Amino acid sequence: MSSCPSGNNQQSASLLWTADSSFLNGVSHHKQITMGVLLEYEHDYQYHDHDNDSNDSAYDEDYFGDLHTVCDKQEVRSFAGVFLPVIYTLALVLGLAGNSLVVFIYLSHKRLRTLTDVFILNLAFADLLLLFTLPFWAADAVNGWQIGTAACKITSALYTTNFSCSMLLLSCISIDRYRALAKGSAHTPARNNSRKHRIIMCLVVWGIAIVLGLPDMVFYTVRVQHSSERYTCRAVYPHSMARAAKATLEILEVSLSFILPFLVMMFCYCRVGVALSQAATAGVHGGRRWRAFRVLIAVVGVFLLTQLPYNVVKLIKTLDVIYILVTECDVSKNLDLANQITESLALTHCCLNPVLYVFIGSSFKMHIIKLAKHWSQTGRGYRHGNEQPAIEISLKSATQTHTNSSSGNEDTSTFTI
Amino acid sequence: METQSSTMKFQILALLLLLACMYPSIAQGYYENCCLKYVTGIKKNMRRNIMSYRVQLTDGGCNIPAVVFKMRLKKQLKPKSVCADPRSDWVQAIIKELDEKNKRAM
Repeated sequence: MSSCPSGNNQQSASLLWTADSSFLNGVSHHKQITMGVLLEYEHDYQYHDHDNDSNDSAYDEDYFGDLHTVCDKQEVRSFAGVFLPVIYTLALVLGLAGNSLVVFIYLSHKRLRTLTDVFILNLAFADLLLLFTLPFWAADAVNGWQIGTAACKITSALYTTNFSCSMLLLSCISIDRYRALAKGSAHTPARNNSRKHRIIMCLVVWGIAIVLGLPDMVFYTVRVQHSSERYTCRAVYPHSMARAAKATLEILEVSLSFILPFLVMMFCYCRVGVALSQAATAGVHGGRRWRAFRVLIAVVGVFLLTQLPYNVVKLIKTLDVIYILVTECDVSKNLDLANQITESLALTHCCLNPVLYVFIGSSFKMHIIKLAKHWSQTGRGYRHGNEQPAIEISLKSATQTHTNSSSGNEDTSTFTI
Repeated sequence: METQSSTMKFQILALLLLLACMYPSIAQGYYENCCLKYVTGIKKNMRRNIMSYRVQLTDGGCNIPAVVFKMRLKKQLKPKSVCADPRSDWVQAIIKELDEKNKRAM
């Protein structure tokens, strides 16, 4: 689609758009527009025009260019109708498998020994709830929304609540891992205080996430899209405050769902990394430290890889809402496509969380081996080496003079690798 | 053996879900057709080609308020939609003319 400057100079050669050269040669005083945006689903107020005399009007048709017509997003909608169901189906299958396995293992075999274990279990629940909303969004992209306003509000709120909760829980996990290092100098709390502490922490996390989901509950509704005459589930703001409300909510979401978790993770895991470096002086085998480093790098790297592009696009769209930056149709369409792709990439974090936070851990591997041995008729005596206590001891020895392995196993939050 | 069986089951499930999602042939989404900027003016002899108008609201789907005039052009097979600033006097005048014309038609 060609981009031409707007102007009143009808004699300018830059306004020539006609592709018919023979017609151009034949007509020297009239300029024709042969390309234009075709809109077939305009739902307009219809008026009857009885004046059919338009012989002279053709003379000025070149006055309008694509810059001043409605930006047709049909190709964006077509792409969404194909791309989103594929991505959502894959995410749903993989995510359900991984997170369900985590929940099953924790609830049936593995005791919730540390605060990190509690957070990981909550993370699996949040990811499962988020994944359950994906079939609705896929159907929305293909068919439009056909199940009513209440379902629209609930699904939107669930999506935002669980997405935010997932990000906040990642922060809590990194805080708890860092706290495990600094805990040597602190007094160990009693068991009942620890249980109460866990409940309070989880309530705070879910409370913040629910608050973040409330705007979606309020603003999302079902509207008829005028260009396609289909129902869509989308945010509808009072148009006196639409831009301010939309921009504020987007910035708030970027801050609490990406910037805050990222800063917390960077701070905590850098401290853990430093502690791992100091563990070298304690004589711990290099292979185990390197493996711990790889876990840290994988956790932060995957977080950045999946969340950073989406939040950058989100920030650009927010700036566009505030300052009306995008005035070209192609730019607007490319921004919408980028939004679809990066949001789908951000969703893959739900599928990767079980791998990053659970399956990498050696203690979880032992439970999976026990489970597999229990289910299979042929028993296997193979077991993993006793790596976990060594890593725990090395981390403690870096932060405290005396190591009490008995109390550590009982109450200390440990860095499980 | 079990792992391959599980993988195959997941693949079959994924394929079925994919087919179910792909069954409807018309693909639409919430990405609205919006005005991104305004035309500076429409000459008077062109205004009689305006057939109808609609109002674009800033309710979350589009970023700017606009009036979209649908115009019948002699050489075009399809009507052409032109975006105009609803705060302009000339736009208000055209809307008034269309409303009055509509009243006379009824």
